[in-house]
Amino acid sequence: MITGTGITKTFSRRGGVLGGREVPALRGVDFAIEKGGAASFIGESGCGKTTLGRILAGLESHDSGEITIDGVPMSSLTPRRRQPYFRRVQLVHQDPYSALNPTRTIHQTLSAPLSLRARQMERAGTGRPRSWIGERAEELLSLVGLDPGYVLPRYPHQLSGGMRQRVVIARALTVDPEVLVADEAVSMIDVSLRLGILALLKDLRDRLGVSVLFITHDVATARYIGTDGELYVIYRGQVVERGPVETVISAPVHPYTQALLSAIPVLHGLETPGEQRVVPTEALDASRHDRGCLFAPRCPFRTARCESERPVLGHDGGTPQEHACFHPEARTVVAVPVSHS
Amino acid sequence: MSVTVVPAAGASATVRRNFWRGVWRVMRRKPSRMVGAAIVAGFALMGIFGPLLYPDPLPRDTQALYAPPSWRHPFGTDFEGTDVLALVVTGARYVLLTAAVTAVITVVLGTAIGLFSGFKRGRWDSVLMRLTDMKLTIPGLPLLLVLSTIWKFTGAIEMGLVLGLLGWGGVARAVRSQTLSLRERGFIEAARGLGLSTGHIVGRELLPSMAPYIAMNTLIAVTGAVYAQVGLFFLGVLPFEANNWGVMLNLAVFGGGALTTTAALPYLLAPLLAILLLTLGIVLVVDAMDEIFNPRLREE
Repeated sequence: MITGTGITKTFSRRGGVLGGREVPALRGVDFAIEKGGAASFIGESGCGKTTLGRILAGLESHDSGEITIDGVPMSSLTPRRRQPYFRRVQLVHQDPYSALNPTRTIHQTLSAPLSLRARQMERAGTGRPRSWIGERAEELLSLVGLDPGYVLPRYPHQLSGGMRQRVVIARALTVDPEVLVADEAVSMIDVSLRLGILALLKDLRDRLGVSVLFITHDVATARYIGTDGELYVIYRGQVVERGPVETVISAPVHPYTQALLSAIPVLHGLETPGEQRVVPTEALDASRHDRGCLFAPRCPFRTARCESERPVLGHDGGTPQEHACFHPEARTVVAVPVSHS
Repeated sequence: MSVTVVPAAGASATVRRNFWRGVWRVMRRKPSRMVGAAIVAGFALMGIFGPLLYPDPLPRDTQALYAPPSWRHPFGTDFEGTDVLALVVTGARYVLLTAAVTAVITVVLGTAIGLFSGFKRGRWDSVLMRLTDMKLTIPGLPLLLVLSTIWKFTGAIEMGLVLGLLGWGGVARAVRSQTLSLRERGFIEAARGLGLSTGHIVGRELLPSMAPYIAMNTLIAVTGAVYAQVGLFFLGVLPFEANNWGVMLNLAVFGGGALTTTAALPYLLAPLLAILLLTLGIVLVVDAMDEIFNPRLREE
C-alpha cells in the first residue's frame, strides 16, 4: 500500500539576467495504490504525471507532502534508509530503446540486480546457491513471455521493441517490486505489439499481485489495464477528477475529462460521437494563469467564480467520483456504437 | 522451449570470447585496418626489441660521413658515420615510451576527472571544471620551454609524465560532457532505481559506452605526444644526450644543412618517415575503434 498526500514539486529554471521562472509540476496531489491494485494517471503532456511516477520510484525528490510506503512515512527516514522502500517501486520507461544498456547482453543486464538481490538474501539468512541467479533470470524471462535461451546471450539491438519492453519489465521484477510504474510503457511500441505488453502487465497483477500504476495519455489503454482500478485525471499538476475507471469514463463530470474523452477518434460508420462532446475554447493553456480554476481559460462552461477561486477535489453535487469543478455535470461524450435498427 | 542453461561463471568467458572474435571480424572488414594494426605492432616491437639489435654505442664509420643511401646504409649515415636506420630504430624506444606514458596519464586522469565531475555534478563538478579550465589556458609549449631550463628530460618516463600532466584537460572536458548526456539515459536511471552501486553504474554501465571514445583519445594522445617531444628536441631546447628522432631532425637541419644541401637529406627524411608511418598506422586503427566497442557494429 502506497499513499501520497499533498505532493508538490516545482521545477525552477535558471533564467539568467531576467530572473528564474518557476514551473509547478505538481500542486498537492493525493493518491493511494492498493496492494495488487491498479491506478491510472491520465493527462496531456507536461501535466506532471511523469514527475509523479519518478518521485514514486525515488528518482526525483518532492518539495512538500508525504509519501507513505507500507505505513512508513518516507520523511521520517534518512535518504539511505529510504532507498529499500523506493526500490519496491520500479519504473518501466517509455522508451525501451534507451532503457537497456546497448553494450551489455541481456544476461549481464539481468544478473547485476539479481546478484545484488542474492547478496541481500544472504544477509537476511535465506542464502541461495550460486546457480540461483541464472535460474532466476530464465524464470523471469519465461514469466514475461520470452525464450530465455534466445534472449539471454543477445544484445538489446538484436531484439524487437516489444521484446525489449518485456526485458525491461523482467529487469524491474528482479528486485521483487510491489508496484510497477508503467510510464507510457506502450507508446513507443508498434501498435500490433501493444496489446501483448498490456496483457502482460495485467497478467503480472493477477499472478504476482504486483500493483500497476499506469501513466498514459491514452484513455483506452488506461481502461484496459485497470478496469477495477482508480482513474486520476491530472491537469497542470492538479488532480481534477478521480474515481473508478468505468464511472469516470462513462459519466465524466469535469470539463477537462470531458474534453479528453471527446478527443478520442471515432470509427465513423461504426460509432457515433457522444452527443455532448466538449471542445476546449483554446488549444493551448495560458500557463501564466495561476488564479482560480486552472482549466478556466480553456473551459467553455466557465463563470466568474471559476476565474477567481480554485476548486478543490470533493464530491460536490453528489457525484460518485471526486472532482474539482464548481459546476459538475455528467455529460455523455464517449462514442456509442451505431444502432442498426 | 529449448532449455539452454547458461552457467553464471561460464557466461562472462563466453562474452569475452565473442568480443575478441568480434574484434577480429571488425579488423578484417577493411584491409587498411590490418595494415594499421601491423604498423602499430611493428613500432611497438621496434621500441621493445630495437635497441637490443645494435651494439651500444653504435659503430661509427669515419670513412663515410653523410654517406648516400646504399645497401649497407639504407638511409645513409650521419655526421659521424653512424647508420641512420640504426639511429631511427634505437631512437624509437624513447619516443614510443614517452608517447605511451603520456597517453596513459592523459586518458586515465582525463577519464577519471571527467567521469567523477559529470556523475557527481554540483560542487565537485564546479571545482574540477574550473581547475580544468585553468589547465587548458596554460599554453603548453612555453611552459615546456620554461620547464626544460630547470629539468633535463633525460628519461622517457619523466618526459611522458610532464606531457601527460599537461594534456588531460581536453579529455576531461569531453568525457564529462559524454557522462552528462549518458547519465540521463533510461538505463542509468533504471540502474539507480534498482539500487545498484555507484561503482557498478560508473564502471559497468557508463564506461563501456564511452570505450570507443576513450580508445580513440588514447591513440590520438600517442601521436600528440610524439609531435610534442620530437618538436621540443628539434627546437634544441633539450639536450641531445638521449637518442631521439627529434635530435636527429635537429642535427640534420642545423648541423647537416639538410634544407640547403642534399647530402643530409636521407638523414632528415628517415625520422620524418618514421613519424609519418606511425601516425598513419594509428589513424588507420582509430577507424576501427567505434566498431570494436559497439556491439551493434561488431556483428557481421
